[in-house]
Amino acid sequence: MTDLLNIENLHLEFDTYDGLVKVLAGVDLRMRRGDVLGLVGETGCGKSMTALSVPRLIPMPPGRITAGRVQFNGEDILNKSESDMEAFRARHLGMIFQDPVTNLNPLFTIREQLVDAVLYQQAQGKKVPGRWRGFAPSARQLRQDAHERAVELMRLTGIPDGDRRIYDYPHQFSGGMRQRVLIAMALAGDPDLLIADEPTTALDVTIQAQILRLIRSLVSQLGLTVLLITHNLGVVARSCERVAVMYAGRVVEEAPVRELFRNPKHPYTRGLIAAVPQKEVTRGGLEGIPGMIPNLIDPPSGCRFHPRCQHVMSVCRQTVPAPVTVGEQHSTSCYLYEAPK
Amino acid sequence: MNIRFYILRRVALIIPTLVGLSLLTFAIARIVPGDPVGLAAGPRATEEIKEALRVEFGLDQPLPIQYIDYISGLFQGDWGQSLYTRREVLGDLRAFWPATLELTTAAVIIATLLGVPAGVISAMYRNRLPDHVARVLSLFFVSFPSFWLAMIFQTWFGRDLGLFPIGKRLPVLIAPPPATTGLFLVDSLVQLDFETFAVSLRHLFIPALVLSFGAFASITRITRASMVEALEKDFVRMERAIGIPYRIIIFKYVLRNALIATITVISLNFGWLMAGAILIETIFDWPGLGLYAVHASLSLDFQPIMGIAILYGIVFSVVNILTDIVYGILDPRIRYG
Repeated sequence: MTDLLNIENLHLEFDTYDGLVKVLAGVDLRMRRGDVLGLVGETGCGKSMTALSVPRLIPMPPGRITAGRVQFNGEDILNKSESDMEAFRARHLGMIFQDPVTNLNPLFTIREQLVDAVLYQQAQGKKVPGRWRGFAPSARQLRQDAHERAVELMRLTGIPDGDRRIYDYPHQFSGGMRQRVLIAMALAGDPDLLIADEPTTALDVTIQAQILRLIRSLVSQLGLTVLLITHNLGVVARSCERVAVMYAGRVVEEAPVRELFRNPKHPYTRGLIAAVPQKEVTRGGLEGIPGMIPNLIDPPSGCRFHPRCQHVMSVCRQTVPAPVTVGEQHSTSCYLYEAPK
Repeated sequence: MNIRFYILRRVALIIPTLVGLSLLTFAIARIVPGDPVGLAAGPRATEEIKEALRVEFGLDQPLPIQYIDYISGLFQGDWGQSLYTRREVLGDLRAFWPATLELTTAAVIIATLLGVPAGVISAMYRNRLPDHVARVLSLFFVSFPSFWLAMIFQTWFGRDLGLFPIGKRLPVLIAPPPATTGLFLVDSLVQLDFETFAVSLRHLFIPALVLSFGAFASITRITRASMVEALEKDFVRMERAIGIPYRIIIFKYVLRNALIATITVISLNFGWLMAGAILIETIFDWPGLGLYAVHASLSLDFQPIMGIAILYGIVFSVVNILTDIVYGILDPRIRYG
């Protein structure tokens, strides 16, 4: 079976006034149909940029992909034309973002936005009869069907009273409801892959739990494939099957969720897990990772984690470790686990 | 709150605005040094003739009394009369204002029809060739004085190419359509007189085009700026990510966000153009309010000055109310109250 998504050795740079920022330095990520993969890491480690490279929404310039490829269903998407990309996104992708307040257009009703999402995702890049030419019976039927599908999507994402509330504007919805609307828009065309970029970060804790539950139930109902980006290990533990941990533009460890939490291998992953507050610890017990995230204009040589690593060896400063298998479906890029030569 | 109540309240609020405006204009018109009666009566007039004029126009009364007389006349439909021509101000405004209104409205329409697309294209192709062309054009149009451009256009299109008439609203031999609104385009259409319509459209085109340039520039710039801002919004990325075509995003979703600022500039321009039409009216021999206003203020003819100020005050207020209503149509988050 070919992978649904295969990101290989992806390098991305950003031109800034301060210099060239090496945002991604060889990201490898594979997803099969039905996977629910969590992508975790600190702010600025390149999780969102990895995610945005799939719909190819990284602003270029200033961004530039210098090496690597992104394959979807075996098809290389980095050299598609822009209009092919539009059709590709409509057909295969759904995406939700962090802030449900700014991600809905404030001037249009939910109906307007959701019906358009349905129409254009179903059309997959072909022409959709516009509003003013929409008086032909066939076009009217199309819009009527899209409207019904929109109401159905609202029901599916747990928005009560969809047939009435669809006429409301975004500001008449709460944050959690807006995120549900955005999920409904992302799902309008039955996407093969749903990319969720920090979907709960801007929400209250109780609402976070509801949205995560919704995503999980959609996964089981629709058999969705989800790439969930977050900096919150708790979110990963609750919603994903596999985790990829990123640090400074590279995936440093990848494993099934249970395996990763029980048996973290990479020193960075260990530090991350140690930094999660535990119920039992009452005072002074939180452990952090010493040091700061590196400056990606002038990143550390070799393994980018080496300046903060307790187990640093001389080889870490010189060459980049390749992923090694350390368990079932468990791999990490660290010289500590290199098979002795 | 209900929109009908909102409009009523805004209309009622015009009255205090106009009171303030009239007080100010009245004061300025009287404080300006110079003797309007002396100017009107001529250099050889005797003291008795001047005195008679003063009594006739109430200038012998104290200023507050004069003001009250004027305002109470206003409410009875008596806008006073010109010291020079002895004509009723209201009648003059009725005769001259439609020409200016027609010219300004046409200019604003041209500026909007050209400026909004230019701004949108500019923002879509930011920092690329179409953007540079639009920016240079708008810079060009704000930098060159409109009276100079007016004369150049008159020479090219009117004299050298003979495509358009050089001036006036209609040729001497064509009678203006019966005045219902005073706008020749509207009146001739009402009469189904398409020939007059076409002729007056040709007369209108060049002056309106030249008058529109300044407004075109500012509309283009503000549309570009607010489009660029709106294109950076999160929802644009979301719409692209789920596969809505860029064309739809631009013209449906982003444009409406950008238009709010543009509408403001359009309505401001409408007012500025009406006041700024004087030069264009002079060059194209356009019988509008501009010329009338210049004559009145040069000769300190105070009643027409007051009349024009009040008319423009009303126009500005009405345009402002309309703009606020359009805001509410564009942005559902705006509540009236």
